[in-house]
Amino acid sequence: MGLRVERLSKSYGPVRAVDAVTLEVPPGATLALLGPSGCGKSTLLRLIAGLVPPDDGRVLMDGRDVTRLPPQKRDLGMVFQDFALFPHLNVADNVAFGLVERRWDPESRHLRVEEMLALVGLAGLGRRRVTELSGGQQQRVALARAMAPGPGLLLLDEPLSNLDEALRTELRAEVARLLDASDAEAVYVTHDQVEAFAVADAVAVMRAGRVVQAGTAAELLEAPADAWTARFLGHENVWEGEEAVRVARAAGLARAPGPGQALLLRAEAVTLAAPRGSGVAATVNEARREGLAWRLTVRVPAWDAQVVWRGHGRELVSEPVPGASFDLVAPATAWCILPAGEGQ
Amino acid sequence: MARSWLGHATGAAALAFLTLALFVPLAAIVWRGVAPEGAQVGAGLLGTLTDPYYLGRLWFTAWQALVSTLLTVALGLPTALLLARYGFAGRRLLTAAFSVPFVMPTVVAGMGFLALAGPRGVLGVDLRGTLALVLAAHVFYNFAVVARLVSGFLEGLGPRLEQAAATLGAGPWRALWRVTLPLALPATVAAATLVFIFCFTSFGVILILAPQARFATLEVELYRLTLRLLQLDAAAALALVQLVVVGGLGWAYTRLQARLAVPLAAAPATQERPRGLGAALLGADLLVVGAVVLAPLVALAAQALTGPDGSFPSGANLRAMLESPRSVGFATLGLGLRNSLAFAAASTALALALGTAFAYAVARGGWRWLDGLSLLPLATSPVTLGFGYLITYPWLVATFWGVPLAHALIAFPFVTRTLLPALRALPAGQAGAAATLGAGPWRTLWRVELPQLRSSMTVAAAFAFAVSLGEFGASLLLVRPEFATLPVAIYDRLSRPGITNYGAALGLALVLMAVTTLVMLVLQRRDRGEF
Repeated sequence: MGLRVERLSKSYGPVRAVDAVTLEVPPGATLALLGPSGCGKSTLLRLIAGLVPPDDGRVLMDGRDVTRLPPQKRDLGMVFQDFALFPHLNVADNVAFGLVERRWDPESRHLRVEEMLALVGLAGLGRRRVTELSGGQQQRVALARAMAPGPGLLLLDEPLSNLDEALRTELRAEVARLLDASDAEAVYVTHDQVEAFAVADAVAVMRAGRVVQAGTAAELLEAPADAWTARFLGHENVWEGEEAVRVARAAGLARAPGPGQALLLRAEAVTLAAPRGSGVAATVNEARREGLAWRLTVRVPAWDAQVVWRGHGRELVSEPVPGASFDLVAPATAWCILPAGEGQ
Repeated sequence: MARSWLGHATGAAALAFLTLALFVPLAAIVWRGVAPEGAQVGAGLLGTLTDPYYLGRLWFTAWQALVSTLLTVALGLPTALLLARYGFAGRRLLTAAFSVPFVMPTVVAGMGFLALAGPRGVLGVDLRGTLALVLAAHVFYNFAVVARLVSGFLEGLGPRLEQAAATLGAGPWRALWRVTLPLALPATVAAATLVFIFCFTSFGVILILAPQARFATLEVELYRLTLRLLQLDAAAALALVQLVVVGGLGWAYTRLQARLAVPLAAAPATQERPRGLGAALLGADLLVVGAVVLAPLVALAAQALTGPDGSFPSGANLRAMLESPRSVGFATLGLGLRNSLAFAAASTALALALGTAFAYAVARGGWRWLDGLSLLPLATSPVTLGFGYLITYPWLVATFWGVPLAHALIAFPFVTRTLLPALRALPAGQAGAAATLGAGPWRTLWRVELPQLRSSMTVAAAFAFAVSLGEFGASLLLVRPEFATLPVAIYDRLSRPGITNYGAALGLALVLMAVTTLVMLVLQRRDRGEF
């Protein structure tokens, strides 16, 4: 039956940190709560954990109403942003903490700790003090500790935010694998959309205490709820107002955006083909590498607009350098008319 | 942190001063004890150390200090846990109020407990001369040390770890047992060590509340041997023993405190409001603490304003302390107050200079071992210090500066311990930034560091002032009649029979308490509970 949150609300003074949020996580699935800082995603997570009492609403785990229960009576595990490892215990005792609370016998505890440490790649480090570990290692201990008792629900509060870029990329894949393999539901809070899509089955985008849109990666990227969400998810070709109308007309679209609407061109559906073909003429303005891929800003004189394109250089017929000419081919499905959404 | 020439210079200056003002007198004492005139080297020392009477004194000093420490921790630790967890209106004022006893002069505390449970006490039961009263006074004094040190440490950790424990299945009591208490242990042990040191060297409290021979601590015994019996050799031997014991413990404390430096939680955690059982426990704890802390002081005020005929309020006692009786050597309020304030001002200036030099040398000059040395005056104990001055610098003692010097030496450890954490907390890049802008170490100290330390220095100065006002042990040995301080004047009156004398003592104690409380008000606004 999974996790269900109904009309959950929490205010701090005049600020509605969480505003009547309703969400559902099917059994075994992972949901990412994605949003900028201050959007309420961490507060929502703490409401689900029971660390903060809600003003209104219910939390149901496997059909059971746990709203009134303290965290220790809900069957969950939590991974904190700053790891929150117990400094007076070594690695093994940290991992075994929840097992001791659930009265496992020493033999079973020992076996389970070994199993968990092997799972997160820290085999043999049981006796180390947690203060001697690196950031990445500490995070793995925090994961192992939360998962060891086999809870029905896993809550992760920006677990990779305190790590550097390279470590984050590496751990992202590992965490995704662990969450997939586990039977438990998981709610993963992050402000990084790459992380959200990599780790979760479904993503809920939050803004100012509300869920703006929830769905799979495909659903969100292909049809964002509004211009704000589109930009937050990483789309860069979003036009509003007069500019949007002009581009729509110049591109020959069936419909132009009206007042309160925006125009989205999905860069992943756009191709840069050989010049003087079936597309519209475009010249490269700026070309930058992003890791192994290119990020090109091309100018389309016919539309009087700039388009951002990302991809690997091999697909292109000529070198992606400023001044190079291409034909920009944008099928009808690449375009999307969206509500503009509330102010930025 | 790069070591600057200024850091080395201050370190050298501080060390030189300390040598002259502390090591030389101490060495004189040690020498006196080890090689007394006309006796074999070591014979006097050995004789004293194996004398069953003195061994008995050592044993008594140690176990009463241990019991006092345990009782203090029993009251202070729960308070610390509750204060760290719960936030409530008036919390700051309350924590400040709890620290009042610590700066109270020992004579005031002693008078307070007499007023509470002495021969004419408010409670009606006469506990004067019992060990129980002494232990109660020790708890009154030192409870704040435990409460503030431990709660400050726990607040720095934040509630995150208990929350993690909750998500792992541990309810509040389990989390307390498995997470909070183990974490609080190092801070508690450090605080307990400090409390043990204070109780071990207890002097004024014992002298006033339980002056019988069987309750004499080492410090009291030292005083008797020096002043009354003039057995300086045996006194020196005892001073040496005390030095070794307390010195070792003081060193242990500085090691512990270094390990306690926990980086503060990234975001200051908002504390819970007390609810249910928590609120009940908090209320009960505050009630007990309030009783322990306030009762003696309130009783003192009440008794001081009660006339010999029982009328209240009455100014009889206040009048008595203004009169100068015919016998020479009895200080009036005017003389005592003037001397106390003058000595306090002079010693505060000295203590600030010395304490700042110490803190700067340790933090910026890399003279880390000075840190341990700075607790040596506490280990030396005031009576020993006074004794050392008497035999080393008798010419100095005859002038005004003898007493302030001794007071400054006793007070400067508090200054160092307040300033050192504050100095260390200054962002490390500042000195480098100032240097790139053209400021050398001295200019940096003057323009960048000291201005930021203003509030810490105010706290330190207030502390030093209060310590000097209330200092009793060294003063008793060093003061001349014309230099009598308030604590000495109080003790004088108390040692003579008669209701008027007792009344005058009460009046003087009330004035001293009022002045000290005023100083505390300055402390309250700036303090962060570090020690």
